[in-house]
Amino acid sequence: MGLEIELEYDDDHEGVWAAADEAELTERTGRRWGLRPRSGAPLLLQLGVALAAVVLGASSAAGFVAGRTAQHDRGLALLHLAAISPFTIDPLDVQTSGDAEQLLATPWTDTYRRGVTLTVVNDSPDPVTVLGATLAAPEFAATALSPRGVAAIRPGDTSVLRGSATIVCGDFPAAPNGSDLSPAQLATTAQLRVRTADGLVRTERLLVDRYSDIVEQTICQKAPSPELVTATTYASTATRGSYTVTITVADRAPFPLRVAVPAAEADEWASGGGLVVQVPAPVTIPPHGSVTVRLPVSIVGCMLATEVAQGNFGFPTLAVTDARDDPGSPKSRETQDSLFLTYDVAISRYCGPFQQSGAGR
Amino acid sequence: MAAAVAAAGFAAGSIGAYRMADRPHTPPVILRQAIESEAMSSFDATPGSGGGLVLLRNDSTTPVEVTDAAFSRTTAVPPLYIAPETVPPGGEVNVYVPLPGACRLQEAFPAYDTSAPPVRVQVIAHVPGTPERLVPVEITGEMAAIFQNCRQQQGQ
Repeated sequence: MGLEIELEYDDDHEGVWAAADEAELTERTGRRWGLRPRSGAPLLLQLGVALAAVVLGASSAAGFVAGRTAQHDRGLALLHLAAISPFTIDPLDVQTSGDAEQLLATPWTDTYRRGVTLTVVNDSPDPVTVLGATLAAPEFAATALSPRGVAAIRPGDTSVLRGSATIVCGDFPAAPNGSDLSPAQLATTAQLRVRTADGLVRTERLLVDRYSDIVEQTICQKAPSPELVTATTYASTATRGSYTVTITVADRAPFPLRVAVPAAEADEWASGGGLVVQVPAPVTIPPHGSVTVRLPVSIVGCMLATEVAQGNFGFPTLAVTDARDDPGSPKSRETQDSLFLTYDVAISRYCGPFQQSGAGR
Repeated sequence: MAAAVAAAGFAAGSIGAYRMADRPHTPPVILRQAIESEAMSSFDATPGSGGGLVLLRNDSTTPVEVTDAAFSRTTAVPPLYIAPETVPPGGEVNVYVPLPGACRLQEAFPAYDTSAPPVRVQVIAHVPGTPERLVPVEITGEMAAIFQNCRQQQGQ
């Protein structure tokens, strides 16, 4: 666009403005003052308009997409278990070993109330507020957890939820008609309530522990078992190379217990200890009662028997289950007791003297 | 003419920016250690031949292909062990993490300190269609204690 001012001197009128020429003069200056671009200016103008339009269009589209993405992100709740120790249970503080009389005097239970902690990390693009959670497992009913704070957690930050669970280390969940247990029946799961950035409250389900190993290893496997071996005596028999081990087992639970010597454990004594154990029939201990189990033992391998006796080794021998369950029921929780079935006197008499370590039997 | 140029420019800018901005972004690969009952590991006096299996969970929003996957069985008979493995969001995979140097099992059942500090390992993984990358994963518990123990042995 160019602006050109052209001055003309009217010689025909001796310097006096001529009205007759005014129309022509107005048209000519008007053309110039009308700002019509010259022959080179139109392209630049068009380029400028195009550039401005492109920028405007691009910013409009980008803004639209950004706004749509932001709206979508505000409704996202992506919470996962934290990387380090996401689920913990306060350990047990109960006596599991010691004097038999003292243990018998201590009331036994399979129910424990322990504090539980769940830590989750926010993988959402926007901050979210964890309002609470419900935790459940085969060993405990739905338990409410509360977060430590009420502030929103930023992306990448964690939220710690805490509560108390009543854990029962009883029977395992039963599958109907002998079928396999579903994963949901075995797992520890959490249902989280989360307020996202858009203000809505949403729920998110988390699989915390696929086989509830944390509960089992922290509590149930460390809890005192209902049975207690109160006495073990050894006696030689008339048959050389044989003796009898008599075990007294007490029941500390308010329900009956079934005591058995599994054939697999007897095989372990034979292959690993050189001793053949005559497996008795299972016996039932009444609630808060006791029972005596006689185990005839024969020495079949002197080297193994001597080694096990000198090393004071024991193998899991007794299998104890809830007598209210059917024998071999998959839902029955089994505890095992290791016994020392080596009788040093009988073994050394049969196999030859050996160097004893510790107290002799 | 100017109006037409403006309209065309606006349309071109809008379409171009929309196509660029609306392109799906490559989501981050997030792998974390999953809770498992038993840590599987093997030890060997030969340097670099020992390792441990770590169970990881895919916390990403898309499937992730894990190159260090181990013991991912097929449904074939007999089952085949293949790697790598594509893990869906929320899915789990065992990965093999080699132990540094020579790591000897010093006793039959070593009592590891399960409260050992976390150990960071690098896992090769990627979203299918994108380049492979090293994904850091924090390992805790018994596996972390095993790795720490092996590092100490290496330093002896």
